[in-house]
Amino acid sequence: MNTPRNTASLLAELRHQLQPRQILTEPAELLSYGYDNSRQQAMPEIVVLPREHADVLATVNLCNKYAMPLTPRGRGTGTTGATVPVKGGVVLSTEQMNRILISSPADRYVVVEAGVTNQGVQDAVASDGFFWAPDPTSAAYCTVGGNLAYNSAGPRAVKYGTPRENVLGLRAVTGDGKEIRTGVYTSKGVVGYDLTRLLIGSEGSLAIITEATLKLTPTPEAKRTLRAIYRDIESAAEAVSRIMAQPATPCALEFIDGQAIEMIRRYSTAELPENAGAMLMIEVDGSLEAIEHDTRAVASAAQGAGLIALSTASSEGESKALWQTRKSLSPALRNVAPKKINEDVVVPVSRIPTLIRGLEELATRFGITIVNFGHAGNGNIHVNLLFDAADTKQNTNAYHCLDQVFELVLKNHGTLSGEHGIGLVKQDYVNREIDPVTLDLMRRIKHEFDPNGILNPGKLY
Amino acid sequence: MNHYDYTPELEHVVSEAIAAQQPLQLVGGDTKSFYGRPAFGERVSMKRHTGVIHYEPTELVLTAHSGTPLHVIETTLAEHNQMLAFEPPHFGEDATLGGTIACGLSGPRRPYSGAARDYVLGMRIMNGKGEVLRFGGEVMKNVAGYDVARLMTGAMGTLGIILDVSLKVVPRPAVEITLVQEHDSATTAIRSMNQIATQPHSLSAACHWQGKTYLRLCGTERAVMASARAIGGEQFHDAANFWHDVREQRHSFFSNTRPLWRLSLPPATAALDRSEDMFLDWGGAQRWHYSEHGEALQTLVALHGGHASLFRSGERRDEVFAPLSAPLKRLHMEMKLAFDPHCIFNQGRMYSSY
Ligand SMILES: Cc1cc2nc3c(=O)[nH]c(=O)nc-3n(C[C@H](O)[C@H](O)[C@H](O)COP(=O)(O)OP(=O)(O)OC[C@H]3O[C@@H](n4cnc5c(N)ncnc54)[C@H](O)[C@@H]3O)c2cc1C
Repeated sequence: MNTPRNTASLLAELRHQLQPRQILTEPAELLSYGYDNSRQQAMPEIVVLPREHADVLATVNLCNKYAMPLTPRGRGTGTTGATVPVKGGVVLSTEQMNRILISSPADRYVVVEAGVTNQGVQDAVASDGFFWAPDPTSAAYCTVGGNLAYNSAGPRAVKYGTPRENVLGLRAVTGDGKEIRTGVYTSKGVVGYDLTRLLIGSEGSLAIITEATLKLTPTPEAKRTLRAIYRDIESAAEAVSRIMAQPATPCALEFIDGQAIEMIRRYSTAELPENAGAMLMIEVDGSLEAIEHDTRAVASAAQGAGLIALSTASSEGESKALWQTRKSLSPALRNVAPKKINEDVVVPVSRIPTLIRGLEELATRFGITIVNFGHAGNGNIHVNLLFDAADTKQNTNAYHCLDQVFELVLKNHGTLSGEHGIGLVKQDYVNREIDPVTLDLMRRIKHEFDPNGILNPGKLY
Repeated sequence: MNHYDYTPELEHVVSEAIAAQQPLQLVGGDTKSFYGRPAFGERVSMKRHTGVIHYEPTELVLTAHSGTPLHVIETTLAEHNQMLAFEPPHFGEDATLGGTIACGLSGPRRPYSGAARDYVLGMRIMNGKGEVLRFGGEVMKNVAGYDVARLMTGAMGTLGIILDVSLKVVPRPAVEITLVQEHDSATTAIRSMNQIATQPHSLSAACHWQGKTYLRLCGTERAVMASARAIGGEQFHDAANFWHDVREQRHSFFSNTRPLWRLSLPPATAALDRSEDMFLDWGGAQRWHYSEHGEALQTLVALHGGHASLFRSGERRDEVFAPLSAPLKRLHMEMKLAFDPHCIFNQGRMYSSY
């Protein structure tokens, strides 16, 4: 299998096995498959658009035969450059693999092709009274394949989990071109090792997922929104612990820090108390009969030292108004500085205050603005470094600062990524979190799935 | 409580085993040796490697050495009104955390709140070279690195020694009640259990045996009462003991000594042949059946998209788990060798070939 890399022969054979419209080679067409939301870019030589599992299998086998790098791609909304074909070669885009294959509401699962968008899944199952738990903000544009490869999730994860907890089985093609099915179409897919969860979160480096069996959850009847404002981050973090320790787990527990509140106050019309140091947005869901009671239980847990204001929305309109404050943050951030580094770190909930205080210190030390918000219920904090990249001093400072941010996170028993993955941009930091022996094992796992190293080369470890 | 870190001795044991090419059999409380295949090699007891290392109730995370008795962990959690969401079976007083996670078994709550592996946040292990490795951590979300902690869960000790495990724990539900409905056939019971599960009720267990369907609801009082009214049925008062017996296989159904098969199926799969003799758990996703005709059973279950394994008794020198496809089997072998290159851990415990 040591044939040298050969684009021309690969192309010839691909043309033999796939339809002409499934193969792109025009530079203008290739261009849009070379970048993702990290703003990194590299040019692929060929883009393949498989329509079904068999096309993926054929492509992987040919790439092995001609030693061609192969980068799987969903919709390229990832933020860490994991789909950027840094070694050239083939980009395999799943955009045409977008069928719902089996829908089994009675068994509470749906089997979809990897290129179906997250929203596509939600729309397909909504009429049967279900949802699929992972809810990244990019749902309308990102694919199930991308969600699984990154283990992407959103606010709902605090109650309903991430893809790892919501996938029953996979069909995939390993890097060496073997079809595997992991899990089964049941609630209990235990035969052999749990390769389903090994593939989830592996960023397209072990196998290309072609189909996934997704576990569905019945849609709750009612939802309530609460907004709690605290004097400081310490009181907010204590409230988070109290809320999580009572049995009515909220379906969203989002947090923004004092700096973010300041932004909102400065750049939007939203009204917030002057002395606000942190804010929690909380959502509770459940049955019509229980929702009021559960909302009161959560509200009472939100109360405590440092609470300045607590509002509960009693209508859709009021709920929208409460969220509006939170939503005005993103546009506000754009006003502050031209460049933003957005990290998604995780620390134990009790360490959130230490993290935020540490970040405030770093902001002062390096003279840049740091704004933090995120999924407080599971300690997943989005750390935003805002600066002007054209200013060389600020630019250098920002990257030194980022380095210190990661130190701070690891010192607080945290992890460098809760949902965005490693990709290209965190590669240099991985070895701080994972020790050499463990990394070595991960490389061996990679080697067993992908002995020729064709899948997504130049990424991860 | 006892605290002892056995890691240094284990390093020694493993390096000697490598040198002597002596396979090792990892044993926790020896409560689940009936399950899987008999491993061979020298027994290494993990019971000394014991103690809760870190438990922060407000974080909902507990980390313990693998030899810690499961009952100690459950008692510790109960003191703070918390519990293990996957309701693991003990199958004996000596059950340890490590054995529980290695077998990856979960109890009646499984289909509604997740399996053992869904609650494993991180792990420290020793591989077959005597090296100590760490995966994941004590936080709820982590996408840095392959999810090896979950791979270890259910691997039955064939990949390495589980040293410490970090688990996500959950608050106990405020209220738990069980309703009993009469269903004269497995077919109507399966339909009913799954119909309820498609609605946003606070179901936490559902099983059926001999005309009776048992539905456990848990959550806040209002939610449970609302669901109970919607679902209907007689309230069952000795429910805690009942579910305990189902979980521990002490229920009279399990007293037979014939080969006991576990059928894993999509929950709404119609009643199979001889369903009236089966104990249906997990809302129909796990069906227990005594049979001397394993192969026919495996074929039948596979036709319905599931798999069958020989859970207890019967001929355990043959394969007890459903066979793997050729590419999966090869991948399993390669995984095994990546972790345990000298093949010293639990040889034959899962499949005969490794
Ligand atoms: C506005 C916006 C909001 C976002 N919000 C969130 C959020 O709330 N939470 C969150 O977690 N992320 C969020 N993201 C990041 C991103 O949308 C998610 O990571 C998403 O899951 C990526 O999906 P994708 O289809 O675009 O995958 P891509 O970016 O195309 O690919 C991502 C990774 O998956 C691999 N891959 C793709 N398909 C397959 C396959 N079939 N088999 C194997 N590997 C595959 C690729 O190789 C790559 O490594 C956001 C992004 C944007 C732009």
